Formats: sequence, structure tokens, C-alpha cells
Amino acid sequence: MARQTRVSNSNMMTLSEKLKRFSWGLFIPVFIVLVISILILFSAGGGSWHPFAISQLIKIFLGLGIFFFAAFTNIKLWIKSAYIIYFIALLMIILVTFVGHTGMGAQRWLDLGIFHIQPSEFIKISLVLVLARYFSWMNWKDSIELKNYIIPIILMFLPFTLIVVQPDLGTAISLGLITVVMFYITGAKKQWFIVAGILAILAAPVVWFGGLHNYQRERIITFVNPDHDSKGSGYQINQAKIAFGSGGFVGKGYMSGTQSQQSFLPEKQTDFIFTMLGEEFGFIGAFILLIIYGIIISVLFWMAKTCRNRFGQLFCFGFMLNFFIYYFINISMVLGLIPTVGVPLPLMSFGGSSLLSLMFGFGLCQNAHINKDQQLSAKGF
Amino acid sequence: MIDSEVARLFDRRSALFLTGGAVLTSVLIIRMLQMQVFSYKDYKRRSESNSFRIQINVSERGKILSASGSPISRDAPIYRIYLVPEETDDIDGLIKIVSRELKIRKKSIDRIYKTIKKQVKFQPVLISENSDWKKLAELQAQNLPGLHIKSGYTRIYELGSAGAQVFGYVGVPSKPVPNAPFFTTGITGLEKAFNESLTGTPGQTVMIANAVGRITGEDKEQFIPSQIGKNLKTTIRENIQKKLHDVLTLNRAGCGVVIEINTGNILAMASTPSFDPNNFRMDDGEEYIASLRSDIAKPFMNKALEGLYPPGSIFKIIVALAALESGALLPNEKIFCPGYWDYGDRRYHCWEKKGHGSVDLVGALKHSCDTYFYQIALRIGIDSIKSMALKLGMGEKFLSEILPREMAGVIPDRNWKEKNIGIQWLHGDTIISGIGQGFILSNCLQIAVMMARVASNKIITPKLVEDNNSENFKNLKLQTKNIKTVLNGLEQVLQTGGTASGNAINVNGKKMGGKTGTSQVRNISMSERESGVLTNEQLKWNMRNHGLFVGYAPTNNPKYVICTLTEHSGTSSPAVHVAAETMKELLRDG
Repeated sequence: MARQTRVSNSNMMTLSEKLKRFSWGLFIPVFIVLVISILILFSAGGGSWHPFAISQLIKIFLGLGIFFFAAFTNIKLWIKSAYIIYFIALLMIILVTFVGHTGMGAQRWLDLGIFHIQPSEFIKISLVLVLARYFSWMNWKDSIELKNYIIPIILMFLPFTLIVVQPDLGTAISLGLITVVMFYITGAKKQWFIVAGILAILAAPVVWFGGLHNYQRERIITFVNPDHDSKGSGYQINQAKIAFGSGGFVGKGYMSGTQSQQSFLPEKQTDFIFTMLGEEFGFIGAFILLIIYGIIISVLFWMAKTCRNRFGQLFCFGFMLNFFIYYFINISMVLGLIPTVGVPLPLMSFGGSSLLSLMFGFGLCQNAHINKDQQLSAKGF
Repeated sequence: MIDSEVARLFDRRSALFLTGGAVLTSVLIIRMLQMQVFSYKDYKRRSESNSFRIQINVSERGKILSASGSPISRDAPIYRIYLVPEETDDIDGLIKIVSRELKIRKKSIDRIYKTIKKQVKFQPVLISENSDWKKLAELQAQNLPGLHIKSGYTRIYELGSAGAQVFGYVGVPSKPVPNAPFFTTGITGLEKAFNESLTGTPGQTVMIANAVGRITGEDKEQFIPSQIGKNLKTTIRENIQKKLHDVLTLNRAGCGVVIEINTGNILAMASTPSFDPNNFRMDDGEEYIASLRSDIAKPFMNKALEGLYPPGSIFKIIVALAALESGALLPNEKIFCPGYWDYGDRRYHCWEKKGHGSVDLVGALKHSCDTYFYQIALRIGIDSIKSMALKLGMGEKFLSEILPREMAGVIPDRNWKEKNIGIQWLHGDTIISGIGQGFILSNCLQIAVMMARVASNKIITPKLVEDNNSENFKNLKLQTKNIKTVLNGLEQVLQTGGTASGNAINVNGKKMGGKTGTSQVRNISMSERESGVLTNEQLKWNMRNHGLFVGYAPTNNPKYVICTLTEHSGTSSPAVHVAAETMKELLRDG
């Protein structure tokens, strides 16, 4: 297609120029959260580097490598490969749906021998990337035409459907929200959202009774109400609340959380790491983390707002959204505000897939910020 | 490049999400505050009950001591091996391993299973006590779930069954205390009465448990050591207690009390048949308890306090004093006894069919002449008798604060009969009251106190627990010559011709005086009297008369008083024998 033919090669920056534009405001808070995560994982291991802290430290080094790589490579490389990245992630989702291992309730893993991959973590970043890529290559006046939303809707629905079938509520909500909000930001008409909402409500019973097998319906019930079939999750959330609440204002002290240290707290190193922070460091500790998250969100928003090319703007905004949804769902879940859905706490939870995809996302935001004044598309915006 | 129109669109539309993000973030912060600040205490409590397993450290129980300070009941340290049924999935396997290792007998295994069935699942079940320590250590090393080995205490009752009803025993509280395996409490007697001070202050060990309940360590900061309980010093003399018990057991059932007159100290108090609480924790402990419960002679009853009997002829002491004090009787007045006394349309029989001939007061006491006392009683009236009886401590409870099952008995009068029987008081009631029959009921302690008061002319009150107050008993204000006359009669009882002469004692010139009594358990009908009263041998055991005796010694300077009772012994002589043997032991002590 014509509008995709020319990617500008002008104004290539040297590394030192890029370093000058490097945003420490983004990197430092991210780095602090990573340090906190090692601190908490050390405690989760019972005051030991094993089994969590050392493993996570390695992943953090890997993540930092990915961050700098994504930040300092030519941004056009990433724009060009956006669809490829998306399809690789989608392929992993397809694979995991059919051959994946089920662990921790609904989370699905791909066992690659030496490590496990959680494709649902990658698909979130990939979707942001592909949507930013799609809309940035379009005149925004075109983007208010309905037909131009068909491709992005398909891009969202492919992984969304597979994830609903898995079922993985947290990821599905994230994908849906990211897409809807990005549509809105790109300028989609408000009436469309109303019409889409009504259509969804009307279509639901038809799909429910006509298009689904029994086992699929079962899965969706579980998807909407995870407590429905899992005896364990009531206990889990209860213990998590006790852990968090009993931390009080200042906490029980580092490595002194009775709930987490005595294994009352399940998944304390992954999805429930926030409760462990709250138990050992109290309201103060949890609040400080929220502040740092707030700073990261603000920096990402500022990057989106100051970015003078459409791709950078949309990616930073989409990633900011993703990051917010991530921690909002996780914290709401562990505080018992919403059902347990299996979303890790970004940058904090033990696990590589989430961390690496986030570090990649931060790297791309950094890259977009470095290149904020670059003209990237043929159509002149 | 982004034109200004696009930039404005972005600003406009993103503002909505910034606002939304801020609102959602404040929701989180409010929730955090609510949990960690406002509901903090509730979560803290729940968190503590989650991870701590509090174990009560049972304190060493104080000793019950005799007057000389030797232990009557004491705690001995032991190792217990026990299992907690709820902690294991394989009770049979566990019991199999343990019984093989410790060579536990079949009988014990049966008991273990019985207890498991009976108890709540969290309650510990004792496997054995004081097993070979090396074997225990080996077992502990195996770390079998549900199996515990813990040091603790067990109660040793040094006197065994002698006075077991008085000292009482400890046992598992009716409401089991969680987290306190083998916590015991006083169930009866002094163990119960002084439970609080004997128990001491239990301590606590706080164990840290993980989510599946496995103990992972101890929280040393929360450790509270237990504090040993206070000792309880009684007035009991060990050797006298043993002696009294031993001679009492020569009979099927009975009881006795020994009081030191000067102090009111109870030197011995026994009731038979008795029980040995040391046997309760044996493997056949339950059968043992069951056999005790079914015994009609009531082994658990402290008969010296709870057993009420008509005092019989012993009551004549009271009637005699009442008559002398009232001036209605002169000591040398003689009354003729033909073996009966006719009054109204009834004939009142003397126990001696042949009659005693002409007797004065001393003779009447010596021979226990019923005819004499029928007439004296009627002469002075029931009110006079009653007031003297009350003065001397009859109808009174002395130890009910510590042994609440003590009975007061009955010293009847007109009002009492009308209220309780519903019939008017008759002269016949007064007459038979003169020989301690009819409605009169008393216990051994009261009779002993009565004797102590008569012998000392002081208002002696007995005590069982040392309180370090030297007693200054008030004067009873009876005329000394009257007391002398009565005591003279009581001395004669154990001399040639007296009713208890066969059991006279003489320890280095120290002699005993006293009074015998038999108390009728049944009424003898007119027809039976005509055809010849059935002898005791012809009657069933529990229809035979009780034998009673109250004595004091030495006669020249009374120091000790003893009251003994042998249930259904037919005559009083077994009771006199018990008293004589016990008194000999006392007099040998000095």
C-alpha cells in the first residue's frame, strides 16, 4: 500500500545524541521498583536468594538488556516488525491454547524446556505495538471512518477469543480495554461505542446458546466468576487480606510477615506479592509503591503528550494504559475488590514473561521519547 | 508530524482517562487505608490466630502437706507419650508402631482406643507415662505426625486411700482446656477447695505453625514460664491418719475423726471403704472407678462429714450436762432401772433387758442405762436438750467453706417436727431423744467437737488447714463440777463393767475415757420384740446397727478427742477398737 512505502531515513541520531535524550525520569522509578521486587522476593524466599530473588535478578539483567536494546535501536526496526511481533505472540497464544500447561488456575504456560513462557504477557505489548503501528500509518481523518476499524478489531479479537477460551479473565479484560481506549484516543466516534455496546449485549445470548459447546460455556462461567469452581481461591483471597490488613500502618518489618513467612499466603511471590509488601512494610510501603507507579504513569503520559509523531504518541499512551490496567487489576484483586483473575503485579511479581515484555515496552517508550521529534510517516503527521 | 488538531484531540480525549486513573487510584488508597488502618486490629487478631499455636505450660501443682510438712499429695515430673487423633491420618499405624517400640500391653491399647472414641479429636490421648527414655528419644526422632512426647507432672498421693475423700484428687476438667494437654484440676476434697492456689500460674509456649499446621519453630519472645503453685499445709498427722484408716478398714465401712483439743486441729479424718486415686491413671482405671461407683458402701463419700447418723447413746453426754446445768438433776440422784420404763401407754426398753437396778448419773453413763436417760430427758424437756446440743456444736457445719458437702444434721424440736414431719411433738419424741434416737442426726466431726468442748469447757472449733493463728477458744461457761461428774462417768465406761471396758487402753499410765453408742438403722416392731429381737447376725448387713464411739485421752489432762463409727457393725465394740488403736498411737507420740 502506498502509505506504507516510505519510512524516513533522515535525521539518524548518534548514540551520544540518543543518550542526551534518554529519560532518566522513566528509567529511575522503573529501576527502583525492580530493586524493591528483589527485596521482597528475598524475603519471600525466607531471607534467602533462593528460590526467587536470584532467579529474578537474572531476569532483571536480561530485562535491562532488552530495555536498552529496545531503547537505542532504530525505532523504524520496531515499527517495521510490529506485525511480525504480533503474529509471533498470537502463534504462541494458539500454541498455549492447545498444548500449554495449566498452572495457577487459569494461567497458561508454554514449556520450552529450560523455561516457561506466558504468551498472554507478550500479547498485551504486541497488541499495543500493532495498534500504534496501524493507526500511525493512517491519516487521522481516515481513522474516523468505520471501515478502518475492521482490521484492528480483528487484531484484537483473535487473541481475545483464544484467551476467553483458555480462560484468562485478567488478560482478556486488559486486551479489550486497551483496544477500546486506543480506539477512543485515535478519534473514533463516540456513537460507535454506544452502538458496539448495544450490539454486544444483543449478541451475547445468541452466542451463548447457539454458538458454544457446553464445555465452552463452563469455561466462560469460570471466566466471569473464578470462585465458581475453585475451592482454593476463597481461602487464598482471605489469607491475602489478613496478610495485608495485619501489616498495619508501618508493617510487621522486613522478613517478619507472619502470614507470608509461614506460607499462609499463597502465590506470595507472584500475583500476591503486593500483600507481602503490605504485610511487611505496611501502608507506608504499599503507598510508596503506588506513588512510584504513579510517577511511571505520569512520565509515560508526558512522553505520549510530548511525542510529535503519531506512533510514539499512541504506543506510549497504549503502554501506559496497559501498565495501569496491569497493576490496578492486580492490586484490586489482592485487596479483595474484584475476583481473583491471575494478573501479576508489573515489575514486582516473580516471573520472566511479564518482566521481559514490560521491559521491552519501557524500552520502546524510551525509544519513542528519544525519537519524539522524528518524522516517521509518509503522510506528514 | 502531529498537527495541532490531532494534539488537541489527544489532549481532550486522554484527559478523561487521566481523571479515571486518578479516581481508581484513590479507590485503591482508600481500600488500603481501610484495611491497614481502620480494620487493622481485626486483621491482626486473625493473623495471630493463624500462625501461632499457643500451648499452655501446666504449672507444677503445690503440695498438700501434713502438719509435719511431709507431702500428702505432690506432683512428680514425668514424661508422657501421647497422641492427638486429629493430627494423623493413620491412627492404627501410629498405635502399632508405638506399642511395638514401647512394648505396650493389649490392655493399654484397648484403653487408648476407648479414649479416642470418647474424646474430642483435638484432645490428647495418653499412651504411657515414664517409659524408657531412650526408647522415647528414638520415637521422637522418627517425627511421627500426631505423636507427642512431653514432660509434665503427675499427681502422687502418698497416703493412697487413707483420707482420699478429704484430700481429694485431680483430674481432667469437665470442660477441657484447649492447647493444654493433661491439664488437671482439683476434682474433690482439698484439691478442689484450694485448686486456685495449688494450681499456680500456667505459662505458655508459643509455637509458630505454617499454613498446614506443622510446627516450624518457637516464638521465644512470647514464652512465659509457669509458676509453681502454693503448698497447702494441713493439720493432718500422717501416722495418725494412716493408723485410723488402717484400723477402720478392718470393718466393711466406717469413719473417724481425731481432734487435738488445744488447737482444734483435725489430726486425722478417714472414711472407709476408700479409694486410691493413684490407681485412676492405670490402664484399668475406668473399671476401678466403675467398681467404686457401684459399691453400696459409698467409697467416694467423706462419711466423717457427709454421713449423718443418730448419735445413739453418745447423746447421753449432752442430756446429762443439760440436766446438771439446769439444776433439775443432782449427780447422786438414783433412778431404778428394771430394764424398761413405762410412760403413757408405751413401754420404753433399756438395751439391758435385765435392767441396771438403781443407778446414779456416773453409773448410768458407765452402763449406758437407757431407762435413766428416758426419764431425765422428759424431765428437762427437748428445748433444754437442744440448747445444750447446739452449745456443744451439734447441728453445726465447721468445714463447709472448704468441704461444701458437709452435712449439718438435725437437732429437732417442736417447730422442726411440725415443719418437717407435719406431726405435733410428743413426749415420746423427747424420751427417745434422751438416748440419741428419733430424729437426731449428726456426723462424726460434730460428735468429736462436742467431746472436745466438754473435755475442755471451751468452744473448740475444728480446723483442717493450718492458718498459723494460735486459737484462743472462748470459754463454754459450763460448771466445772458438772463437767467433772460427766467425765468421771465417761472414764468408767472404759473401766471394768463399763460398756467399752474390753478396749481399755493404758499407755504409760495414760488412759482413755469415752462413750459408746449404737444407732438403730431400723425400727423394732412390737411383734418382733415379743418374739425376741433379731440379733445382728440374723440381719442383712445394711440393716444392722451402726457402732459409734467418742473418746478423749489422757483422762487426767485431755489432749485428744476421737470419734469413730463403724457402719452396720451391730455393736459399738468395733468402733471402740478403732478408737483405742488410734488413741494408743497418739499417746505413744506424746
